[in-house]
Amino acid sequence: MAAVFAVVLSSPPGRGCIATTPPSLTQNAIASSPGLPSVSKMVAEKMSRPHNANKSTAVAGSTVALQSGKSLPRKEGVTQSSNAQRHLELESNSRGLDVAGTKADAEKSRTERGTTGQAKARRKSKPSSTPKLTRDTVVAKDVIGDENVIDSGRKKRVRKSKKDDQTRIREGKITKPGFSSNTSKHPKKVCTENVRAIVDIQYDLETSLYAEEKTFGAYDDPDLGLIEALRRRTDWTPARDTPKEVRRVSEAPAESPFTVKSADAGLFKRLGEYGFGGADEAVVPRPRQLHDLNGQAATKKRKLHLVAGLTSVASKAYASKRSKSPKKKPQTITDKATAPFVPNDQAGISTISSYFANSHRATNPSTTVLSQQHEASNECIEKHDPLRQVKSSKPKAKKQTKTKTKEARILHSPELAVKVINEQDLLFGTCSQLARDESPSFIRDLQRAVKDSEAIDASQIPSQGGESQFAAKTALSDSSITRLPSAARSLWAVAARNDQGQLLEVDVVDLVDTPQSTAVDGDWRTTDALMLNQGATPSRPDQYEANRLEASPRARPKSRSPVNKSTHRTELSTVEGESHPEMPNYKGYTDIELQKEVRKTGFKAMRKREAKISHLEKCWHAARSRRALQQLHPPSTSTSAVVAVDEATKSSSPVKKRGRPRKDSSAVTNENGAGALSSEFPKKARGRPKKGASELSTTSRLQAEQCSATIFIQKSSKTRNIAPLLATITNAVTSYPPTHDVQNLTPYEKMLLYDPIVLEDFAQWLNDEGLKRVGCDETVDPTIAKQWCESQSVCCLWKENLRGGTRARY
Amino acid sequence: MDHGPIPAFYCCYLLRSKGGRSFYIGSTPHPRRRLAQHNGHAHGGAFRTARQHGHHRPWDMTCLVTGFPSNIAALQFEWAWQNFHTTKKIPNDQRLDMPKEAAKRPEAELPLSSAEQQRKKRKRIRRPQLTLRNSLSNLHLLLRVPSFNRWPLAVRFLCRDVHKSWLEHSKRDTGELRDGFRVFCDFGEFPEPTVDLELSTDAAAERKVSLTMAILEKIDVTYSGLKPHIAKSIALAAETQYQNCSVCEHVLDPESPMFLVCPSEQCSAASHMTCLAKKWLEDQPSPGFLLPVSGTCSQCRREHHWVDLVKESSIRGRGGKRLAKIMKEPRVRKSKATGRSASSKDTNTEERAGGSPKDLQVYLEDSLTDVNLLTIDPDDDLLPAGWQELVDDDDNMSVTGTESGIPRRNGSPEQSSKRRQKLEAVIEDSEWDSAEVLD
Repeated sequence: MAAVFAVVLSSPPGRGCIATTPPSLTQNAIASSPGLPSVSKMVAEKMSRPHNANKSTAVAGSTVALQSGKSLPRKEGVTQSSNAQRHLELESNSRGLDVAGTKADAEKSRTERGTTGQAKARRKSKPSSTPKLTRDTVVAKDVIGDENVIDSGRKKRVRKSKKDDQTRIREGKITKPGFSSNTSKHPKKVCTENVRAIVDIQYDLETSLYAEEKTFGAYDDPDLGLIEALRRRTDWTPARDTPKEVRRVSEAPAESPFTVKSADAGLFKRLGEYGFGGADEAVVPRPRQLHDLNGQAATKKRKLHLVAGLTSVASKAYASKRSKSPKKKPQTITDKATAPFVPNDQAGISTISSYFANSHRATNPSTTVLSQQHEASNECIEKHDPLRQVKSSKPKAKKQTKTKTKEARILHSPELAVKVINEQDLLFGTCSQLARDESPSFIRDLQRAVKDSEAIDASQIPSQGGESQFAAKTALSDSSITRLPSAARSLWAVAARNDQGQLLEVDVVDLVDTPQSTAVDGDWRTTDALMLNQGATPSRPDQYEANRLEASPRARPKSRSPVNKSTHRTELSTVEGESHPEMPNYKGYTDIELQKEVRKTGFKAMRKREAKISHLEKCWHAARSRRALQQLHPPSTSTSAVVAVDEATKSSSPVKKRGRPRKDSSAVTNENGAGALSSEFPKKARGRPKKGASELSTTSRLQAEQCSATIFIQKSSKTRNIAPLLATITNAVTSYPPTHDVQNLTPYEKMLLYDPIVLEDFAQWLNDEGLKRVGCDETVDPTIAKQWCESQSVCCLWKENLRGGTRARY
Repeated sequence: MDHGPIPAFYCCYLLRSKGGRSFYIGSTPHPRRRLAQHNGHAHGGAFRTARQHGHHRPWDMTCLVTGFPSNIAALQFEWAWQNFHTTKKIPNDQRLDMPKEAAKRPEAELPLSSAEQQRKKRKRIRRPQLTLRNSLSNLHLLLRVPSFNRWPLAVRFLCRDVHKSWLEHSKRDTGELRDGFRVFCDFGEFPEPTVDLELSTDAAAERKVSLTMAILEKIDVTYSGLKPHIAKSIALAAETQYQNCSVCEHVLDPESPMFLVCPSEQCSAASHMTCLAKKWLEDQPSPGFLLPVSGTCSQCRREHHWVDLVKESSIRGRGGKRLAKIMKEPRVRKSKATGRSASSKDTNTEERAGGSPKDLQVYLEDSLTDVNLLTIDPDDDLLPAGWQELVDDDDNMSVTGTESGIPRRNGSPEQSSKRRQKLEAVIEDSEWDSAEVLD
């Protein structure tokens, strides 16, 4: 009998929970929220209204007794929400509730909402975590639905009691004027309990309240903000298949309270429609237009504007704007620099077809009109920006640039184009450099002058070997490569320091002027470098080599200057001239014969005939020189074998070269030398100058220094004359008087004790004491010492690791 | 550099996997322990031998190359044996297996620096697979090359079939080993499974390995065999009368390491190292070598190996602490091992002066026999000084020195000691026919 009233102020979605206020809640508490009319007032109001006898109960007193304990059967399944929101649930079956009070609350909330907009309602229901929409919706639903319920209250109540056992989702329907029923969206599954509670309640009192307020009639009541609510809601929830509103760009600026003057007026308009503007917002809710003016269903997409028939104001504005603005003069440096190269009507060429059309037009004036039209139609078909489209409306500009296009747009044949490009003189620089007012040729001249001056400077630096001649003679304007190394070489020589910071005498070897062909490390001499060094230089006098010989023993034998192939050629030619009668004329050989010969030398086959010829010549010369030197200096270790390696060999040839010496070594019976050489090479190079100081021919010595990578040289020099040296070492070692000092054992004693011999120390000992005792003046480097040790089956080791570390204990 | 004395024992070994498919070359101063490590019984096995799934374990040690005078020498030899395709110790004309370049892989897109390029080039050479055939043939070759042929090495075979292949290879006229090169066959003592190669079953493999371990246990890895020699030298040195070099008749300074004493028990010949070396070299039929290998004592007319003399001298001269340990009197220790009778130990050395029953002279005993010894006593002389640094093989597994509790398979200690004695006394020639079989 008692009206069961539940005011749902806030409810978490999906939860069938209602927070019940403690029964001791007093009226004051309820009415504590500001703005609420006093409960008593509400009660009084209620009293004045006719009640449904069945449902309404007299508002009893001022206390709102919320008796959660007297829960209806409905309430049994209710879970209590932890957050004590202001859910008021009044249920009493048989007691008079202060329904008025609670109802008044609802009303209050509603009125508040109505008067103050959604803000208060939101505030009221703030603690909840639900979106306001749902709450409001629920409330609205409550409000609205109650009407239905109230009318058939009794019935529904009865019905409801059965449903009370379970929480169920109530699917209420919100109907608004102007909407079809299917547009109503299902509210979220809000607190079903609340919903049902609302249903249960017989809102006799409410009816009157509601009726007074004409809630349903005034759906568009701005106080309620239902429309806004719905609008918000539609934005949040997934959209359904509803005809959407057409947004008119044109309508945008006028109606939105936020007059946003931008292309994005639509967005702001929507936001404005939400009604969040504030208390003083005067939003006139605009009914959504579902149908276009044309009667078609409203679509969200913006229709493509036909370019030809521009109707939109914006694009028109664009076009007009563009036509009005004059072409600006280049203001920035970049613009200035690139100005002469930018074709005027470049923007107009959007497609290749239009390009051709243009060019066609340019070449054939009679077809101008046609091409224009063609172009216009092209642009019509494609989607252009309004920007581009404007060009069609500017035939004038096109006509003006016609002549220019004629010049700039000549299509060359591919070969011609390549030619043109190759002949083109390219200037590189920054924009500020290039954007000078001088002509490009001026810049070119300037560059040339600078280069020449540099050449002069380089030549004037005191260099070790008459670099000036070289530099002066090779006035190559383009090949800076030749100039740089010469300058760099001399500078390097001048600036070289040793590790103490003192000036180091660098034995700078000038590969350029070696009279004979030298063995070359194929890795760092590329064909490009070789090809660029076209300028031939005459060979220098040999005195430079003599100078070099006086270099310090520890001089670096390797020099990293690129090989001048052409100089080699010329030198070869000169040398060739001498030995021509003896050397076979390789040029006269056929290809097959050349191939055979090359194969004989053991090198990899070369492709070019030229390469083969030069290779064979070098080999021949090397063999000759080797023989010659051998005759001259049989006992000394001469670096006679200078194997001229074809400079054009690929990088794999060094690998091959290493393999090659082994073959040769078999001819030279040296069992140990072969294997030991390839790894000892760096050490050999190091120690070699020491040895070579004595009676060696200048050229071979020089070449030996240069050819740091040729193992062949090293090997041949060593294996030839090393046996006596080894014998000497043996003699020196064994004959050395033994000490009996544990601390300082002679090497021989160490060997007898099977101590591993440190090669560096051993070599040092040999040079200092051992060999001298025997009367041998030669200096032994550790590699030879290693060779000797291995021949004598002595365990030996390096102090230095391969990676440069030093062995600490052994 | 301060070298230590010549290690008491250092060998290179050839392992064979179960089933005979895979081989492994390593070096160690303690082969029995090392084999246990390989087979997983002890901690510190090599990575390459650790793969169980490949059915490699248990590994069997087939042969040893012993007599390396330093760990560096052993490592060099081991590397040369492993990399017989690239080692420079073998001259190219004698090389049996040339390095083969691996198939070229697609080049990396990034440009490589020169160092990387070199590394890449080096990597491309593939290491040849170790088979019994090429291992043995290359071993034979290495023993002949000038770099190694004067080293005081010897080869011990622990498997009959491996020895057979070795002989077959020797017959193939590839070259002669050095005169008097010692090849031991240690396997004759135990009955072996009939088919050695087909050790695919675990049980058979395990049995074989246990046999090997038994053999290895007999090998003396300590200086204990030298003890009498050392003692004699010390005694000689202590004599007030100065010795004269047996060769040059000059005064010998007993303090110097040049003081070599003839190892023969009764002979007291001492000489300068250099003098004796010279003499022995001259005595050789083919002169011109730098290092002697063997020679005869002038006084006792017995042939000895140079390395023995020098070893003793080195431990005496450089032994330091270890020497003291060796010469220490056996002392009483709380028994860790059981079943040890003093009498058996007494027969070992003459130095022992009536040891107590619970004698645990670890350094005079083969430590292998001590089952319960879990840690190597730092005092003991099993391992050469600085054994922590002595690397067993190229895998650089640190010598952890944990003695796992591998039970002795030999039986009683008496037998083992007897066997050991016999083992030491045997000096064999390289001829198989005259090989003395250890019983």
